[in-house]
Amino acid sequence: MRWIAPPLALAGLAAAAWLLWPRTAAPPVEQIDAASLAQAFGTDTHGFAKVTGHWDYSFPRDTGPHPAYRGELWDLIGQLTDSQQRRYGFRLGFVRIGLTAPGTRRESELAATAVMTAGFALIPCGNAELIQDQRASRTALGLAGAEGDPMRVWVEDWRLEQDADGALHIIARGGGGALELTLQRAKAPVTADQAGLFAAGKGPGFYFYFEPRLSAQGRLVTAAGAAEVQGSAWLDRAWGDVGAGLAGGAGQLAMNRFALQLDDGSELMCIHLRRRAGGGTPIPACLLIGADGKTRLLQRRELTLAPVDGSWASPLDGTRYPLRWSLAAPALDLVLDIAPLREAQELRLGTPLWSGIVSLQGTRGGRTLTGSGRMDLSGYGTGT
Amino acid sequence: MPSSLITAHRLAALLAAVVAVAGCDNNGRGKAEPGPIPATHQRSGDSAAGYDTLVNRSVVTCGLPYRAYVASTGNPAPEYSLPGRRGLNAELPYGVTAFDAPSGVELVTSNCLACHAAPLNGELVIGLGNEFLDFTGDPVMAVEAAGAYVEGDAEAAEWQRWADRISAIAPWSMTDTIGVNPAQALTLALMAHRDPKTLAWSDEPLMRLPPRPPLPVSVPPWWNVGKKHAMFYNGEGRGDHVRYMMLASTTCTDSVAEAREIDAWFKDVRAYLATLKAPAYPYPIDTELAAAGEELFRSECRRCHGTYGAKSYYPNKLVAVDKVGTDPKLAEQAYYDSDRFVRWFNASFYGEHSQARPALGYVAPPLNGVWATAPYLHNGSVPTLAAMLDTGARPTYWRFDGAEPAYDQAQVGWSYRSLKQGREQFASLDEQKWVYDTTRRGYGNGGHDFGDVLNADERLALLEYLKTL
Repeated sequence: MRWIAPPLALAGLAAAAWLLWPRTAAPPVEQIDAASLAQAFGTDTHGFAKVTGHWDYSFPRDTGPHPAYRGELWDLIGQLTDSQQRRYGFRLGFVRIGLTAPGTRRESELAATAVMTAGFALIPCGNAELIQDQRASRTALGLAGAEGDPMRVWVEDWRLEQDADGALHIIARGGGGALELTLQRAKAPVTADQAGLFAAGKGPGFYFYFEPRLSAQGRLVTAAGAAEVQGSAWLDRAWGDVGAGLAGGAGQLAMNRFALQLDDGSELMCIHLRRRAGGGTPIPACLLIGADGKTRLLQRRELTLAPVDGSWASPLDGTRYPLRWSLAAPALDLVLDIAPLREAQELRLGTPLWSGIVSLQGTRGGRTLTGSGRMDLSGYGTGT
Repeated sequence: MPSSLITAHRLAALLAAVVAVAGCDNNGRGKAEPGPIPATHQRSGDSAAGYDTLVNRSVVTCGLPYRAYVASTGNPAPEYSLPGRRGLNAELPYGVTAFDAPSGVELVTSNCLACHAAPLNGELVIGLGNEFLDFTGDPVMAVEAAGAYVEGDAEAAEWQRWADRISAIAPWSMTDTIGVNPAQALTLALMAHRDPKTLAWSDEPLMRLPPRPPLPVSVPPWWNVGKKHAMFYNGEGRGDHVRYMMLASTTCTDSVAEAREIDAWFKDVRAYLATLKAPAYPYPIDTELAAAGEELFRSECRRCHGTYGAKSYYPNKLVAVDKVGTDPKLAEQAYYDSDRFVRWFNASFYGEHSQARPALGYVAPPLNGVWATAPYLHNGSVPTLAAMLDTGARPTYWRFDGAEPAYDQAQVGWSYRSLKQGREQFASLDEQKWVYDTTRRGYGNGGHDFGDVLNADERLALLEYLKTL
C-alpha cells in the first residue's frame, strides 16, 4: 500500500500563517488586524504577481520591498539586556498591503499605492507594565512607505532602514517607551529553500526568509528611565498572498511556532502541528542552524516537543495556553525548557493567539545552555 | 542422480507431507511442514468484472477527501494509461482510486495497483511488483499534514478516520530501504487493532503488536497466482486465496457485513489475476544458448521450480529454510512469533474458508517472467539473476541509481551499483535510504547457492534460458 503523500509544504504553509501577522504585542482587543485587513481586499490579485514556482533569493535586494506582490511583512523580535542585567523583549513589525499593482497609473499625489501598518512593543521582564503602540497609514505624501536600495520601511516616524554597510537601524517610540537599535547581521539569512520545509515547487502562497541572528545594540526608554542595551534579534520576512486566510494553521490543523536563539551560537526554528479538534499525533519539526550556519532538519521521529506543567488562562476569554514547553533532540544531545518571559503576551487578531518572548534553559552535550526566543501559539481558543 | 535416489527423495518428500498433515492435525498448532503444498478449491469468478473493479475500486475503504487530495498534490495527471477507468478515476494516477464514502464525501485512497503494477519499458504492467516504492518516509507527517487542506465537518471526519488508521500502523510501514515492502508487518499490525469476530476497530491494540522494524519483502508478481497453491513466501496462506488478497481491507473495513461485500467482488478480481500472463522478454535471445540452458534447468532447477513450455508442471514446493538457506527471519518470525495472528486470522471472517499455516521454509516460486522481477529472493536482496546463480557475485551493499535504472541484459535485472560500505557512509537520509545493506536484520542475501556448482558457461546458458520463461 502506497499512501498518498501530500507535500510536506504543509509545514511551510502553516509556518507562513505566522509570518502574515503584524506583530503588535499584548492584549488590547482594538488592535489593527492586518491579516483581516488583507483578507478584506479579497483574494483577487488585481494585477499583483502570484507566487508561483521558485524564487531566487538575493541580498540585499530581498531585504527591500516587492511591490509586485500584494502583501509583505518585516517582523522583528528580540531580547535585550541593560547594564543592570535587566531583561526586555521587544518587537517591531511592519506590514505593507498593496492597493494598486505597479504600473497602475493614478494622477493624484494623494493617491496611495499601499497601506502600511506597524506595531511596536517593549516587554520588560517581571511585573513592569508592557509598552505598546500601533500605527497605520497610507503611502501617500511620504507618511508611510517601503523602498529598496537602500532599504527603508517606515510608518510616520517609526523606521526600519539599512545603511550602506548592511546594518539595520530601527527607531520607534510610543506607549510611553522608545527604542533605538542598530542591528548587525551575525548569521546569513535562511531562505525557504534552505529551510527545507517545502516540497519542491509547492510553496505556501508566498516567499519567505528569515535572519536568525542579528546582534542588537542601542538604547531604550521605559517608565523607569533610559538605558543602554544590547542583545539579539530575529527578523522574519515574507511577501505574497497575505489574504490567504491562514489563521495559525489551515484546515483541520493548528500550528505553534518557535524561533529560538541558543547561547552556543545556534538557532532552532520549530513548528508544532496538531489537530484543532484534538486527537491524532502532533507533528513537531525543527530546523537547526548551526554556529557555522549549516542547517539540519529534524523530523518528528528525531525530536520531542511537547507542553509541560499545566497552562495559563487568558484574562480576556479564559482561553488556556500551554506556555511551558520541553524540547528534546537525542541526536543533538539537546534538552531545552521553554518558558515565557512573562505570561501575559496574548494577541487578538480575529482569532486569539499567544505570541511572545520566551527564555530557554537546557543542556547540550552535557553543557548548560541558555537562550531566548519567540513562541507563537494558536488554535487554543474555544471559538476557533 | 540415479533413479533409485530420485525415488528415495520423492518418497521422503511424500512422507514429509504426510507427517506435516498428521502433525498439524495432532498438535493443532496450525503449523505446516516443508514439502509439496496440496491444491485447494478456489472460488470461480468473472474475470472481466474483476478487471473492472480492480481499476475502479479499492479495498481500502477510507481515504483523503478528494478536494484535499487535489489541493495537496496538485492533482497530477496519470502517467500511464489504464484502460477501463471510469469517471474521476480516469483522471487519477493508477495507484489511487476515488470513491464516494457513505457520508457522501468523495475520497481518494491507495489501491492494489499502487504496489502490484509497475512501468516496464514505458508501459504499465499490471501484476508486476513495484520494486522502487519508497516506504522509508514517515506516513504520519503526510497524513496529519494533509489535514491543512481539509475543510468542513464531513470531510474532517473522513480525514480523521483515515489519518488515525495510518498513524496507528505507521511504525510498521517504514522500511530501511527504498524498494522493499512492509505489507506483511502492516497487515499484522492492523489485525492487532481489530476484534476477529466483529472486525470492529480498537484504537488500543487488542494483542501484542508485531516486532519492529518490519521485515522487508519484495512484491511478488501476480501472474503466478493461478499456479500457486498457497499465498505468501512461506506458503502460510492455505485454502481460499481471495480473503488473503483482500486483507488490505483491514485498514478501514470495520464490520463483517462490509468485508463480505468486498469479498463478493474480490472473487472476480482473483479470477482476473489468474488470467494474467508474464510479459515476454523484449530483447534478443540466443536460442541455441537458451536450449543448452534448458537442459541445465531440467537437471538442476526443475525439482523445485517446475517445468515450462508446452507441458509445464509446477510442484508447489515449500523448501525448508535450512535447505534453501535464504534469510530465515521472515519464516522464523511467522513460525515462532505469530501464533496470535494465526489464531486471529483463523477465527475471523478472513479465515472462514482459509487456514493460515506458517512453515519454516519458503515456497520455490514459479519462474514465469522472472527476468522482469528483479531484485530477487523474498526480501529483494539479490539485484540480478546472474548474482542469484553465483553467491560470490552478490554485493553486500548495493543501490539502484534512481527509480528508473536501465535494464542490464547481461546480468538480467536492473542496473545497480555495488558499494564498499553500508548506509553509514552517507550523511543524509536521502542517500542512506537507497543503500541495500544485506547485513541488516531480515535483509540477508545468503542461501539459494545451487548455482555455485555451475561453471561460467553453464551460468550463461541458464541465464539465457531464464529469459525465455
